[in-house]
Amino acid sequence: MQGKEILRNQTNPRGPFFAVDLFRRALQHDPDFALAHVALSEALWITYLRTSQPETLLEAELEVRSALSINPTMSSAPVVLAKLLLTNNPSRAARVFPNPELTALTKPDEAARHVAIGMLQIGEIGQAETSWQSATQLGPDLWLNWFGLGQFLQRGGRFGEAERAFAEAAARASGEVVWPLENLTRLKLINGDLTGAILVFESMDESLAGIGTVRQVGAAYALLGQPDESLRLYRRALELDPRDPFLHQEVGDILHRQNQEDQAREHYRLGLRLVEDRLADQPSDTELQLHLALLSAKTGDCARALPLTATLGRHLQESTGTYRDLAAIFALCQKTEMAIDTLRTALIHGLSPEVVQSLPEFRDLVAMAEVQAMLSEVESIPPSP
Amino acid sequence: MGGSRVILTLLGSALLLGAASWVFLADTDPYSGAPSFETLVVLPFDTSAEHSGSHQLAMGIGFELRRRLQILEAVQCSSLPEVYTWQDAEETRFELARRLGAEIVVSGTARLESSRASSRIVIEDARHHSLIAEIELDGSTERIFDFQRNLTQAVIHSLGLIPRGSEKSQLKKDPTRSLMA
Repeated sequence: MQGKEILRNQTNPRGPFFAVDLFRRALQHDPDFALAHVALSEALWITYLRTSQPETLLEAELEVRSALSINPTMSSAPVVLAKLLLTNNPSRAARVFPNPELTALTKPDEAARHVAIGMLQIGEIGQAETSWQSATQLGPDLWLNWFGLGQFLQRGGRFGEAERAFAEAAARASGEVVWPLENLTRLKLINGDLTGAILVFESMDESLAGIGTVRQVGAAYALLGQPDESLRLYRRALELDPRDPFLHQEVGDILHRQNQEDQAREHYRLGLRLVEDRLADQPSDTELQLHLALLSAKTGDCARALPLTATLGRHLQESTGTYRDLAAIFALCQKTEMAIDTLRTALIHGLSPEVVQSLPEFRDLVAMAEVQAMLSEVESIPPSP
Repeated sequence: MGGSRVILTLLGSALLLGAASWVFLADTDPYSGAPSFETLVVLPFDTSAEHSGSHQLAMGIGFELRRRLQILEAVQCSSLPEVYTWQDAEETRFELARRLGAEIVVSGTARLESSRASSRIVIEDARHHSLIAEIELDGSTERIFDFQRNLTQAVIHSLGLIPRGSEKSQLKKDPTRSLMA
């Protein structure tokens, strides 16, 4: 256990060497301790990755084969052996992967996934992918194998392939497991396929969906001009997390668009109180201060909002969201010139004209010829690096 | 299994006598035998900072529980490196389970005081965010393998898993004959 703990702590460069010593000592007490042979092999593999001494890798293979001879059914040994083989001769090993010791296990797909994680941890992305693909071949009926592959592909930005993997996972998962469908929904939203995302979302048991998905689909409905469906989902999100001030703000915005001013204001006030609570714990958080200013403006308290923007202007991170919110505060507080200037900056930073046109706080600004011209010219403005 | 709540207490004194005593404080569902899930994760156990040995005890309990559950063909387990790869400090255990694709989450605490080890394990369904079982176990560190074996048995029982013949013998086996090792 001491050796495992040292091995896990990657901050100590000598850690793997100490771990090797500890596992050797454990084996002196019990030479048939199969788990210690596996642990020693893994520690030697890590030292090889640092020293590139080939004899270390040979010793690691001997140790793991000792473990296999003591207990051939122990799944951790074939996993370490596969990692050694993939490291020793990657091109050959990738051709023969999964190795027979691994395929002989009762759950070879689980072992292949563990190999994939091991290769990912040392930055061998190609071999990690090979291992994940193998898991789907060794256990094609298990949704988790396709889900894991999808997560890996999504992490690498390969959204199209990830979508296909999640679709395979969804086809195999029970109705209680909605995660593959949730991921499919989110990927479709990322690709701008709002209608497709909603179709996938509607195919799952909505009561099992996570708050992030519910919220994003709620926003998609709003963008598609379906405020009732949007509000229904946002209210569901609020049931899941009633203390999220951003959710209250988004619900307020939808109600405001529907001219339900009193209800909108109530949500803005609730959001404001929640931001105040959070600021009590994190008084120097500038993002929260900006949110406080925005919600103050939305509740009509410009006397509180405007002084905050003056202070925040010097401390906030330059981003699309920051300039959008500042422009919204100025617009809500009738500081038209400042609103237009800040909106221009937001557009330069990448804010899309469609978003500007959809936000209720910019409704009056968008009606102005100057702003319309600015929005139509936006494509000629080079984006900020 | 969904929605059932089982609280089990395995008494250390009973362990020392070589007997396992289950106390069902509440039980709403009979065990069906067939698990209604396929995937599981054992998260790293929390430790009591009061005793330096608690951390190692927690690691050992988590490691052994993970290793023993991996023996069962009916359930696919996430590995510890997988947990560390996907773990984000900001997220909850259910969010982590979602990333891992783990339908069942096993988490717990471990505490070491003089020669006594104690552990509290919580088993939850990550799909429904519901509690399946809480298990409390207390035992002697001199018989730590018995302690770990009984803990595993309690988890397996709570999940309605039924080990097959060869799995039963593997589950009974101690990892080493030497506690020093």
